[in-house]
Amino acid sequence: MLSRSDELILLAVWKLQDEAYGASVLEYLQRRTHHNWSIAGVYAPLKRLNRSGLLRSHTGAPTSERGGRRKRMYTLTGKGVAALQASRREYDAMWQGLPLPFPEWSKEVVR
Amino acid sequence: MSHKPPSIARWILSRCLHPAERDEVLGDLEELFQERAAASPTSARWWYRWQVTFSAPLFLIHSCAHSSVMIKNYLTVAIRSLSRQKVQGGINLAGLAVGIGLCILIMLFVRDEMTFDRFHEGHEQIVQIQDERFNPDGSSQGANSNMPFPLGPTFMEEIPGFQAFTRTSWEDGHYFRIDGETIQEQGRFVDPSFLTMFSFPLVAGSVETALDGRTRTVLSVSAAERLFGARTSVELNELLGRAVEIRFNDTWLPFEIGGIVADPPGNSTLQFDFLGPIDVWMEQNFPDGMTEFGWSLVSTYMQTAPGVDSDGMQEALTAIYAKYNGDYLERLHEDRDYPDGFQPARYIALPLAEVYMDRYSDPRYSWILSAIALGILLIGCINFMTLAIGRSLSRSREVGIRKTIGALRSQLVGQFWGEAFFMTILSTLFGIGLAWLALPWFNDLTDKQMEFSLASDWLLPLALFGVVILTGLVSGSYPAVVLSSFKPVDVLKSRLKISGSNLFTRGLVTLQFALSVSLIIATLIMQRQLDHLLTSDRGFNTERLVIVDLNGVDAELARDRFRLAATSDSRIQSVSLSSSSLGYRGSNGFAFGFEGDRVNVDLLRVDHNFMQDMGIAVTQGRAFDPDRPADSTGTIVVNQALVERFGIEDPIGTPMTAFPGEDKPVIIGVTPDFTYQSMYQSVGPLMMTVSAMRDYRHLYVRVGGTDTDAVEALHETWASVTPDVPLSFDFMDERMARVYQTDLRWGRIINLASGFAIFLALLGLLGLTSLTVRSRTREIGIRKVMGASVGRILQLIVSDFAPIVILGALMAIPAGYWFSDQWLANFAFRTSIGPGVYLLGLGMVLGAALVTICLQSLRSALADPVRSIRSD
Repeated sequence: MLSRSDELILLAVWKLQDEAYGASVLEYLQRRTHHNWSIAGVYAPLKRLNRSGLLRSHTGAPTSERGGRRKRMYTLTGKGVAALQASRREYDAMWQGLPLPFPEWSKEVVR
Repeated sequence: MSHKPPSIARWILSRCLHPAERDEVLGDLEELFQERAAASPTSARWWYRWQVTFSAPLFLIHSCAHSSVMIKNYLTVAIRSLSRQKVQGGINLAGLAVGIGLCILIMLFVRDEMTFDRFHEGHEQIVQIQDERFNPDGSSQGANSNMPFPLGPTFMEEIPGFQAFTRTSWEDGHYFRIDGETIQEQGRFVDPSFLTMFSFPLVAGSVETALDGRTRTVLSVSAAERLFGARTSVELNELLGRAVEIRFNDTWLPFEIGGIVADPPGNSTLQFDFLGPIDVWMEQNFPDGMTEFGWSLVSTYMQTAPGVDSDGMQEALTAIYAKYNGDYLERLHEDRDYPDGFQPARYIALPLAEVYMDRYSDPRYSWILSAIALGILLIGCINFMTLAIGRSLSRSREVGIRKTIGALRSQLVGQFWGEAFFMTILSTLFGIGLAWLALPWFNDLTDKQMEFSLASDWLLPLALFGVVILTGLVSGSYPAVVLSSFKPVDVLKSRLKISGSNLFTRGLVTLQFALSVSLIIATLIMQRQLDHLLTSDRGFNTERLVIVDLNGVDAELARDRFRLAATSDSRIQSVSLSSSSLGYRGSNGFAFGFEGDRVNVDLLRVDHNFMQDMGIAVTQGRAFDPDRPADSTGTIVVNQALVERFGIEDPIGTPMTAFPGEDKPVIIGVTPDFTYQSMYQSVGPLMMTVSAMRDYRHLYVRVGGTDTDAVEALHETWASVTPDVPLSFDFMDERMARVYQTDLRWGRIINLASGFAIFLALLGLLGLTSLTVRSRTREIGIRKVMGASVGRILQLIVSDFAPIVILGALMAIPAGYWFSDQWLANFAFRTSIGPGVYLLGLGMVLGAALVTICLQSLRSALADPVRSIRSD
């Protein structure tokens, strides 16, 4: 089962398509989640997911805005897509048929 | 690209990253930084720092996990090279372990010494009052901690800043009677505030009510067990209120048990098995001293109010001395030439934590032991280096190949140092085990109760960590620096010549021998001095002499009963009495004059038979005579030192002046200077008088038959003297030896340490010899083929080592001399140290070294030359 941060990172890589690497993933996550992400907090899962085959990686060209350093690009594998879909199914199953939490102000919450 | 990320943060991060991923991470971070810096450079820099703070630790863990693969490889190589030379490796491991074990024990010792009395809560606020006296030239004569009884209350009243005081008698044996049975316990008589000022926790009863200053006594847990067999806390609580009797002189006084206190810890200067009321003790023993300042009787501890520093009180203390000791100060001025206006004595306040080092021990002991421990550790490290250098021949190939494949020099340095640390940690583990096993025995040796636990405080683990770092760094330094510098081409082509014993290794061995020979010399000198103390002629006959403590029993009755026994019992030969003990403790001095000259003279009160029974010679006049009762008044016998001090030309019949009684006793005899005190003190002027019966405290019995017979006879006769007081006695030579027990103990510790040192040094020499022999195998083979004898070859190898060992040994002589001179300065009676001791020490070490070298080289000298030459 994927952890929440793994899942968010996989989704970010999917969304960014050919432009997914450490900095862009961090930037995207920051924008969408409104949390501060540390570089190691992005990098460690990326490497782990890469090792377990949910992501694939190759070295990209060095650019000047990076101080001439190379970047490592990531793309989603079929296994990664399957894992995300499985995760979504589990969420949906969990959300199915929940009772009303607090009947007295239920209307706002459910809507 | 106009902005630069914070350089320190970036450097830290790059250090934490594994080289393989350094580029991408730094690049990503830089890109994000530049984006942010375009908006606001300052906040971008803070953002960068924040990123590094949170990410660096995580990256560090990752990169460590990665390099663990290489570490595993290093470990494998280390274990293999260790197991390839099992004997030598094992010897080294053991040597280092012993060194570290010894270090641990000595650390425990030093810690125990340094933490004395610091367990009391608020010990910083407690001081011991002492009086310090000065010589006319202003130098201190030393201080005395026995204070007048009224001192504490007077200080409380007259010196602002003190908030409490407590007084204690000296620790002494007292008899307890419970249901008719008598047992002696060691204890002190104290003020009730003793328990509130000091932190001796009560096991039963409460601190406020345990002592009331009149009728209550407190027992230690172990005394409660001895007296009542009480062990559990219920049993101990049941003891509260129990009646006991304590004996003072010849009366039994009733007390009740007010509390049970935990046994004082080993690092407390205040030791006791019971506490009683000091007022009662004073009334019974020194009624006159209760109100007067002229008596020095009790230790006095003062507690300063919070925020008050006792350093600032010196002026008040000096002033109060003058106020209450005016007569005494005047007399001092009369006796000696003090400058006008100079106060020759004053009170001082010594912080509680310094009392131990001041009165009971000496920080020098700790320093000497630490130095010895470091020396032994150094010898262990040297052995390790010698081994590493020895292996360098075979390891150089490994270095060459590693370098060819692409290992960096820094990696090789890391590897060799890593190996050294691996060995050090391994031997530290063994060392901890050894120290743990040896602790009970070491406690015995040092007369302490130390406990060994790594968890109880941070000091020991920290110190051990320090030892590991130090040992690892030192022992791995040679291989790490030298081996890693080999050029692969030279090594692989075998062009490199590494001799097993180069200048560096020789230097190390020289150092080892210098260290161990100085220890051996110190040991021999201590041994000789201690022998001298125990066996030298004291001027009186201690053979088969028993000293019986009278403990307040009627001296006349005791003497008569023993004399009666002597007439019919061959086990008791003669009996005599004296006031102060002979041969081991200082006697009380008092002022004595002749023709206006006034000197402090030691006084020994004896009975008529004493001199004859003790075999004290007389050079002029006569000894006291039992047939002349008149000797008991107005006659004295003096020693030669007194005659010389006063310059009396014809002593016999000369009247002297005794103070303060103004008597005019006449000298009837002169004795040679026998050692009536311990051998630490030189023989001063002494006079002996025949005294009134109540002054006698010791009975001397010359016994016959076997020791068992004699002891039996003593018990039988003592029972007829008093059934109440148990017999307390010692053979005289044993009791005198007890005075020197601190030094005897030190002799044993140094003995042990030097044994270890020489053993380790020999191990090192063994390793080095085997190395040299191995590198010269072929040479030896050829020499044998050419007709050299085994003796000739031995000579060849020995002559290779002789200079370094002899040089080391010679370097040790000044060190040994310095040490022994320092130590011997403690004694008034010094044994003479000739060159014999040094020669003996040298001879012992050189002999052992020679045997070691020969044993190791004999094998190769005897080996078949055909095999050694062919082995290429």
